[in-house]
Amino acid sequence: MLLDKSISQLAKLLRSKKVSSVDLVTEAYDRIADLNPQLNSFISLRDKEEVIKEAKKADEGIDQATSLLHGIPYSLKDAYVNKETQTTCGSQVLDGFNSPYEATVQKKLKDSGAILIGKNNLDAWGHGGSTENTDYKVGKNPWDITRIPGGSSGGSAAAISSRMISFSIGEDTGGSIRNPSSMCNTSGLKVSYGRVSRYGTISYASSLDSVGPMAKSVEDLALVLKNIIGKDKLDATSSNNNDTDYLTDLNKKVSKTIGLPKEFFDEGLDPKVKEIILKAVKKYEDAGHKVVEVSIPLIKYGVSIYYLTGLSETSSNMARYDGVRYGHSRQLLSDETKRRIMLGSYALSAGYADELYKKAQQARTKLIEEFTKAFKECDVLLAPVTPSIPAKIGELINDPLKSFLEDLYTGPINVAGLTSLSIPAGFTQDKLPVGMQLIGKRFHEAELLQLGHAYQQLTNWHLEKPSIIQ
Amino acid sequence: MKQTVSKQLVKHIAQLANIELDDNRVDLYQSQLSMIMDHFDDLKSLSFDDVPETSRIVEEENVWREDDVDESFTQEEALSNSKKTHDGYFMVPYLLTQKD
Repeated sequence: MLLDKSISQLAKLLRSKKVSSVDLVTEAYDRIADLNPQLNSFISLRDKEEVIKEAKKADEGIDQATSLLHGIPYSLKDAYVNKETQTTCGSQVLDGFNSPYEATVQKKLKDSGAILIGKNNLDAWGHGGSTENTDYKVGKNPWDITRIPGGSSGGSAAAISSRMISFSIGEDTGGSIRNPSSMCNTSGLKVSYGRVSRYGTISYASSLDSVGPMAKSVEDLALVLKNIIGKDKLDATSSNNNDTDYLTDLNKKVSKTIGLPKEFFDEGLDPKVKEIILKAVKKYEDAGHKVVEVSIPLIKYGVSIYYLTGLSETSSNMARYDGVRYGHSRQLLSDETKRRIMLGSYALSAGYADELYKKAQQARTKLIEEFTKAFKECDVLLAPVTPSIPAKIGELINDPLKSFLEDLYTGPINVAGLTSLSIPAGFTQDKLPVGMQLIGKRFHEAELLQLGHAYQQLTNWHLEKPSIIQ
Repeated sequence: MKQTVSKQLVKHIAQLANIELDDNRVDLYQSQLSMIMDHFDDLKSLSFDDVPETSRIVEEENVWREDDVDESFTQEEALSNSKKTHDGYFMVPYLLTQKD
């Protein structure tokens, strides 16, 4: 199984001509044909013949290739615009929309020589954490197809976990990369706000949205990240702060102080998840890192702060879907999306804005201060990604508040603009994956990647594959 | 159960958001939105007299560029995803109706 290998292994095989890009692409299509009908990880696929042609060209140009991504098949969460396929964002409102322009992240990946295969399923507009709020088929978890793959980038995580694809680009507004990475036993990086250009991303909440890589390992994430960062004149919030080579420092031996924010381990955290996370903490301690307890008291209000911010912004962003210039009628939006738009309209409306939106933005100022203070006592924070194990399909979509509460540990990270890495930390007795997140200061991706990579040298959780492909 | 959000308010915010709701949906959303708004009420216990608001993470800095004419979509590209066009224009729904 070629797509089980790391990107750097595949890059070597491609350069030695032992494997061709055509082989990789063919394997991707075969596995997608085999598994996608069960998992619903993809919404759109590119025409296979066209992609094989592209792979042949990549093989011809391999000797001149400068990027290790050259010839490697990947997918995009269907929240990015591109010219090769339709872009739906998981909603029938955009069904059949063919973008006349492409996202910066897609352009950068194409320039690196990587090969787009298709677009992944998601909760429509990023609204959800289960890939059930999609107008296409409900996404399934490869580890147990009666359970959710997490979300909203659930299709990407399931496709990587089941080795349909080498890597994918997800989008994280309040956990949408980390939550499915945790639930599907894959690795995912929520970058600092501004690290990667958001141009061509379908906006959920513009002050929270981040574009990041999802893959099988931290090493792969570092490699993809290197290819997609940079200042972009098409996104005024993109940052110049990009002089790090994530790969050269990846193996550097480091000794860090890891902070455990006690509010992330309070009641509400499933004891099965807690046990696994604490074992991972022990692993770091045994490897010579220092572990301290820290406190971020406002986390208790994290769901309210995150959602009042995110939903206010989404109500504004979603106003553009009027069915005139593109797309279909907004009356076709799902219940989940309609509720979210209405909550945001409410939080911004006359008479309520002061006690809802404004208060959440004041709380945001204080929350950022609390994170800054915690980072005076430690280098990174370690925490669970979600309070629970992957829910049964149907459990969350019918309980909107419960679904919101699942974002308690992830949403506040976006509110503060920090970076966070989600990596596999173990399994429950029923063989359901559980991930942990390492949270870093803004623009400290390299530090997280080093620590995450170190953990993956000591453990093999990230190498485990679901039985559906064995 | 206590319903924090009234039916009237549900209809009002649906109108603000340009979303049409039938009566079943008004009932369903009333209970769901009430439950969520009750949760958001936790912020009421906090007081932030003079705390400034943070609505964005990036530094406030104006971005300038020369006002040069640049490449843009052709008319055909710009119209390509619209279902209703006429003579190279988008057709929009009536905003004003004429009285007889």
